[in-house]
Amino acid sequence: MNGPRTLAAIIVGNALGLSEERSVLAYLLLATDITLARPEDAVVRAVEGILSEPALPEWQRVRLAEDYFRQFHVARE
Amino acid sequence: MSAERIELMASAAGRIGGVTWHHLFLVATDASGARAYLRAGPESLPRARLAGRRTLHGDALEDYEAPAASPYGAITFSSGPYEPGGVDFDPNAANAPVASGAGAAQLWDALASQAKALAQEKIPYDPAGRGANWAVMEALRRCGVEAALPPKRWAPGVSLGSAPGSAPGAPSAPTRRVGQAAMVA
Repeated sequence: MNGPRTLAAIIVGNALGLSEERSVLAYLLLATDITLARPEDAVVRAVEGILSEPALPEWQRVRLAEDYFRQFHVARE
Repeated sequence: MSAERIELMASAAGRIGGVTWHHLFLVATDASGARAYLRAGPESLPRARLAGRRTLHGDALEDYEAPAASPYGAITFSSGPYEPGGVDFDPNAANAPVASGAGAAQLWDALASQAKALAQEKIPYDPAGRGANWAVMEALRRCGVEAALPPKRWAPGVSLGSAPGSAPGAPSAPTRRVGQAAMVA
């Protein structure tokens, strides 16, 4: 069970510069929520911007990106 | 003061990844037009952010003592006149109404009590989670108020609820790096 999770985590981590497991796994959960929610493009762009903020530690970036998504995504039918 | 109106204020505080984030605080206005604020903040700043700062006693680093709760210490509250030169005074801050009329004075007193109770809980200040914004909203929740933010203002921490340990607010210890093998005896 650990293999696929770890493989996905490595792929995502490399792409976003995330290296800690907690950050990568939190990102995977966030990405899943975003994919299912289909938020407005502006929300997605803001989330991507926060995730790529170079001045913050990776764990803070992921948590702030999730916080932004939770505040600004309005569920659509 | 006997508040006649309470507003939730959102002041632009900086940008993260090109996105403007806001600091929340409360402002009450009495019948004479005098205003008072209630804000939350960290007990202290991490050592790295004190470099170059000065206090009444000189270099801020000289008498620095690391707080036990977190690099920022515990969540604290403060209040006072809301006027130019004050800590959060921002004439451009967005505002959203929280209460007005007879209920405002009662709510302002209740908020002061809840702020005191929250401070006594010594909740570790977390700038990406349970920080100043979360604390202001939590004080409102404990008074039975679910306040709406001014439109289109991102206030980090507001998405977190009251439940202790709820993700993503609870600070967690660093984990191993991705792909790092765990050695099990």
